[in-house]
Amino acid sequence: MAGSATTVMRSMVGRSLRLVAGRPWFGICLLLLLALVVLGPMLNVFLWAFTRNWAYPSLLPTVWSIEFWDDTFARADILEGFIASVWISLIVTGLSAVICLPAAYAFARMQFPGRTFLLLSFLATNAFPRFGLYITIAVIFFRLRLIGTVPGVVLIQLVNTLLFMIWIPTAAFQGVDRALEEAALDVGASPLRVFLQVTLPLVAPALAAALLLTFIGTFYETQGALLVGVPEVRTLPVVMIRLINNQVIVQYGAILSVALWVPSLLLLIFAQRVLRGNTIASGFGV
Amino acid sequence: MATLKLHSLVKRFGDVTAVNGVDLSVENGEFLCLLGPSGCGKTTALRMIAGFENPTAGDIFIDGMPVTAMPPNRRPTAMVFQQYTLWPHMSVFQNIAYGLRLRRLARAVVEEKVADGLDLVGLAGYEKRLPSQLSGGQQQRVALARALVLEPKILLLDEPFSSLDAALRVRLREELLRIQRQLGIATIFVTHDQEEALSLADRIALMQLGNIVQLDTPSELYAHPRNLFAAEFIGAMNLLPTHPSDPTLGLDPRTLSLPPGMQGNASLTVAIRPEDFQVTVPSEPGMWTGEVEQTMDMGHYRKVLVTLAGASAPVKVFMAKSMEVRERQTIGLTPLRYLVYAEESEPVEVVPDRPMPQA
Repeated sequence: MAGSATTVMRSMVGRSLRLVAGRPWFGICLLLLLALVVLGPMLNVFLWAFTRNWAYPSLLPTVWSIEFWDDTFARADILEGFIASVWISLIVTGLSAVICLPAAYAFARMQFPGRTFLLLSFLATNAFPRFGLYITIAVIFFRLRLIGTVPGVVLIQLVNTLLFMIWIPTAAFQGVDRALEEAALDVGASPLRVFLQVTLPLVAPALAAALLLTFIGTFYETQGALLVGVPEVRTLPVVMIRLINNQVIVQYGAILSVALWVPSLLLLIFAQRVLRGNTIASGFGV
Repeated sequence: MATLKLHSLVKRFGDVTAVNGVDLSVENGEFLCLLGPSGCGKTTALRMIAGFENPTAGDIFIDGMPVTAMPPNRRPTAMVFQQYTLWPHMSVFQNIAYGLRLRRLARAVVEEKVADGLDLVGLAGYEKRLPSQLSGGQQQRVALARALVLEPKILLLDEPFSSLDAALRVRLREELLRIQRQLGIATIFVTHDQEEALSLADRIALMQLGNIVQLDTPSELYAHPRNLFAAEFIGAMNLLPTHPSDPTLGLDPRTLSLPPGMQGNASLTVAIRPEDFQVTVPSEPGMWTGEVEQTMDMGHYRKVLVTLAGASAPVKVFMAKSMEVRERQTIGLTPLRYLVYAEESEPVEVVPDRPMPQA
């Protein structure tokens, strides 16, 4: 009985799926709905960036304008925030690479006690509510007089980068066939040369992906920078939050959002060109 | 032109002994196969020669010089690996030229040697290809060229053709043998495929559990396997456990003449190659009688499984296709040649028509 019931169910589901599949408008509707949910908020921000006046019932801005763009970029705090963000992101990415890449190599290639535990421990920073973690760290930083300093911001942002910078390169190093390295040793290359000329080129796409993700992630990191950096150190996202909180002018926030969206888009386009399509996935060991 | 000598080579991984005291010498221009089932230590032995594993004990000499402590990048050996180990980010030219460039050879010399190498393996004109644009067989040819252009003293091959399909495997085998003869390079070839070993090697070192069981020419190894393991591993073989006073096979003991010295032995095994039976239809008195269980057409010969009365497993018989046999038919078998194995002693070959050897 149960068997026949499931058969009936299955045939009904199959029939309705076939009915739906036969009508392209259903798929189009789904796509539009998805686009609305995903792109809607972005579109709203985009429109606000070019608006002078947007009265309530109107679907589109009532008066278009780009005058706020000049205003926004004329502000000293935004320029300073941009410079601070770029510098801090570069420092964090560089430090993270120096710390994590040798560690990733060790995780991939060496057996030592506690290896699995240590590798999993890097997940821990992502397993707890970020803000709670930051507050406890901030308490320690306060005693160490790191609050409101660039080293403080760099340190707290480093925490975020560990997962990507350890896991992706570890998977990449693990993915390099040892026989390829042995073949290079065999024809006479020294171990250092093998690493530089065989291992490194093979993991380069995954390392580039990890560096890129780290840079972008750090550039947009807000919570840690807000908690540890303020008031002396202000990265761009922190400046943006202040603008949105303190100003009645929505356009500043909107313009900054659009402007901040550009570098990550450029980096991702660059990434797609430089890296082969499956690199990021392969970095995760997929 | 070079020689290789292994002296009491031992390799242990923790509690596991992979290679258990191997002595071996390979002569100038010799083609030697290390043959054995997986886990017999053949690959470990090869990797010690290449320098990828450090021996737990023992020494390796090339041309009389100890190389045991020499790292792999300094050893005058070159290896072709089981998987295609071409560097995927380098072109065919760059792959082959890599080792030459490390030796700081002039550009023109490198180009010439790469061209010669590709010529040798039949891939002239493939310089600019990437490994991903080559088939498996082509990749393995490039790997061979990469090893050969360095003019190593010893060429090492670790099951290089095992991931290729059967027809290609046979063709590359022939090509490898041609190149090896042409260059006269001492070669060690690791394989688990006895057919491959028999067809390639000047001598075969048959390994089991980390030891060399037998070191002989292919024809000697086939004709006179030294123990039951060798008898079973090389070629097809019927192993019939028997006892002089207890004809467990249900055979007439007179038809199975045992060497005089062995008749008192408690446990004996008779080993008969499937091609060493004479088939008689119908069976005559004094012959082994059996029923045909299955016949298989193998192309140029026929393989027949015959159930002997009282025997536990059917015996394999290879016979000419000119003779017809049907399944369920009763036929007579006469062993023309067989080996008798007793525990703890050398096997004795018996050829019934000839006088019995005195053991």
